[in-house]
Amino acid sequence: MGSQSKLPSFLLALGVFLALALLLRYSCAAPASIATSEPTWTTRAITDFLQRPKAPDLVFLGSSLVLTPINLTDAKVLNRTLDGAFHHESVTTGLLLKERTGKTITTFNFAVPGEMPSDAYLIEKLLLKNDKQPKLVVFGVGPRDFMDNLLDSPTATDPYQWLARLETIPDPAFKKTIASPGYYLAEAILPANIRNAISELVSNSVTGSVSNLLAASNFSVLPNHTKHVLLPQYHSMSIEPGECLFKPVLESEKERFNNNLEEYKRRYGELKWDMFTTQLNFTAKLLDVARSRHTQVLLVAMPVTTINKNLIAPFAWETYKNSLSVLAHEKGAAYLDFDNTTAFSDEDFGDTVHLNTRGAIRMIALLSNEVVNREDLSKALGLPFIKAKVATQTVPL
Amino acid sequence: MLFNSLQYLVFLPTVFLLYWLLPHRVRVPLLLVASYFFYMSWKPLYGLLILGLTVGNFLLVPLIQGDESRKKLWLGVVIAANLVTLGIFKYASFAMGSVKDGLSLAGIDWREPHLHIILPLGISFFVFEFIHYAFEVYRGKPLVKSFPEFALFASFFPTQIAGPIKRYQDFIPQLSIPAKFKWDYLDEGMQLILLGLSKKVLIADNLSAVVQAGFSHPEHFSAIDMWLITYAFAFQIFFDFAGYTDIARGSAMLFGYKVPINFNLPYIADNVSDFWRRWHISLSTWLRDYLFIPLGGSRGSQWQTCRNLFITMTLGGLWHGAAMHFLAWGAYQGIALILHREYSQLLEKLGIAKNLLASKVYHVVSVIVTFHIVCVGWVLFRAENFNLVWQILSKLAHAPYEILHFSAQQLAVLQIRDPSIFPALVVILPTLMASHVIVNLLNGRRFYQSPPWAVQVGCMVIMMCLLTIFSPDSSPRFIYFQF
Repeated sequence: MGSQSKLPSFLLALGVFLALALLLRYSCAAPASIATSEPTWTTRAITDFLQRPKAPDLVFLGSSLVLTPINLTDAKVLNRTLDGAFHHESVTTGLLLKERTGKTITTFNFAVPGEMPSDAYLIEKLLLKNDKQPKLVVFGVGPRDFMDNLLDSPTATDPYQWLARLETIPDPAFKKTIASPGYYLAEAILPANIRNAISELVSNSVTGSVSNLLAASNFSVLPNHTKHVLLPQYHSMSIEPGECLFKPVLESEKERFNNNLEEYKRRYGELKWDMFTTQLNFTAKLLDVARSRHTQVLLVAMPVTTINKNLIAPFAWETYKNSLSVLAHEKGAAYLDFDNTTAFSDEDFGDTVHLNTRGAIRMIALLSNEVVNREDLSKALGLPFIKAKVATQTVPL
Repeated sequence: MLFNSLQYLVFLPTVFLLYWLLPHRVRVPLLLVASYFFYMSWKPLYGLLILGLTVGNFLLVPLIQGDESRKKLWLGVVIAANLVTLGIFKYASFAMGSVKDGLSLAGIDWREPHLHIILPLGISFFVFEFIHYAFEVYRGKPLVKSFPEFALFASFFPTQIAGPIKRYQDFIPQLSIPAKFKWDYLDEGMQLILLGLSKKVLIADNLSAVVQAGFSHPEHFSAIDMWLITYAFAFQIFFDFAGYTDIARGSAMLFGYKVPINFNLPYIADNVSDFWRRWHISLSTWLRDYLFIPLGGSRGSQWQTCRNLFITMTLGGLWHGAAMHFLAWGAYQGIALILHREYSQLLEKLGIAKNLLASKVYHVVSVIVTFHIVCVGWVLFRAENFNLVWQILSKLAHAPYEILHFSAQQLAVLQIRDPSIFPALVVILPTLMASHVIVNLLNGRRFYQSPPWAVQVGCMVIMMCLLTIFSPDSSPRFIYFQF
């Protein structure tokens, strides 16, 4: 590998490489496509949202803490099995609001498993605007959203990977976050959306060529759930039709409790304060963007079980709760603290953080009550303001 | 600090610039400070460990040169001190666990104390360098007079974490040469670093997805799949470690230092003994010089030689990690070496088929057989417990039956379309094997040893582009870091 030349080959190679990167960076428009052969929770939600002709009145944001109760309640109310891959609304909320106010309210559920406040911020910023701007955003958060130490950085989530593609210039807020060093370097040279597009192109060509070579295109494909077992880290957020079904629970049935405490011990293991403040900043940014667009936000502290809460150091829990209430107050958002109510007991949970059908029904009912009973929220949705806290319900909950 | 981290990308050019800007007399202290900074950036407290061992060895080893009658005693003391340190940090928990398992077999329930020991990075490597130094001084080689030079020998950051295990006679003299900067240092160093990163990020990290899936859930794969996955691990561990070594050698080259190579196309070895002359060369030569030969080497009876081989390789296996499967892997390599030795001697005694043995066909068959013997060993190395080892080996043994009833549709690797590394395995694995053969053919050619300048530039540009596009946000640690 010896070099006899006077001109150092490395410096020349570096120069050529940087020139190529610059050329690519400024000549390629960022691909806005989120088309993929393996749709994820995020891509399915984005695609569905963009295909809808009109902006929904109410959009839900949050993680599976929000997604699960909405889908469980709808399955129960509609009395049919719902496919998580396709169901992106809260029918029950619409029905309850219609019953209380007589007005039809359209909803869209943008809650995605693992969604962090940083992801919710990107959804708000990039998608909930112009002719797709909702009147009200209900943003449900849990302690995991701020304290998950299994997450390397806000750029490591599935929503970020796809939402980042919708931007030509990467959001500067993410540059200040705690991404892995390799990310910063690669990002400085070539933005992730261009890298991802090239990488996916190559990957598809490789798969296509090998399939052709072996005439394997008609071979059976391994079911997604098996793939998730074999490759738990890889495209863990991809979701196939029928893979995640929400079934109506009969009155006689008792839902099984899944103890996921060990998982949360790892998640809360060592509280990373930089992660906490980063996600809190993104929550603030979300509220700022919404306020600048005159979109009303209802920030909801979602309920979790006592055993889950006990995993978190008391000062961390207090900081989390206080921060949410201060932030909502400061940014003009409405705030609903389910943790402060006696509405939920540990029997309302399917595991240590997700509500079961019983808890889900209660949560949607309480949420709808809050919307019609609070003047700022009902006004945002153009609903008549109802002062009465209690109302008769005929929706089959 | 990891080689494939942004910190290193800032650290290396900074040290490089300072090194060449400063006068020669301060270069060793500079590299020493940089090496300790490199080490302590992970766990600052462990800087004291490497410093303590360095001071201890620097003060104790000269005693070996003293009184002739006490030479052996002092050598024993130095080796014991190093091994006890290694034992405490690396094997204490394993030993406790083994005692607990043994007692539980006897029906005794003993709760072993939890030691909370975190294995210091690179300890296995620098301890072996200290032992090598003690042995060489015992054998009459000169002492290192300068403490900074001795300290740098053990802590030199390019080789600190995962070798290659250096020899002080080769390394120390390089420190006193007042070298002037040459662009060749930068070119050769950066070419090696880019090549190493490419091996790690583009090949080893991609193969790791396949290996992880196969070695965690063999029940989902057919026998032929499992052979492909085992081959994938053979190449993953090779490219991971060879990539690390290239980065280490390239980093050292930036300062004008040469450190030994660690690999010489191991998968074209035509017998197990040849494999160990090509694989992790700095470790295998260390084991030969400081374990096998002191045990008696091949000077004694047939039985003693076999015993020495077995002990050397079994302990070599345990060096890789405090776990039973590493011990079993070492024992397997020992048995393989013994069988190869017996087989060679038998053929020699019988004096049969000399023409056949010298033929190309025999050589090719030998390479294929050796590769498979090595691959079976990798199962012991990689599988996390003996249940998995048994499951995978049973599956591998089932391959002849599957080949007789072969249908590509049975291959699970072709049913996983994404990541594309799964279906691509059927193309990539033969390519990687072919690369060994091609490089072997090219090795003697001038074009390959010293490619034209334009080719060098082109290759580097291609590697930079590929690394930028295909680098994952987070790359797994180098496999050999854990040892």
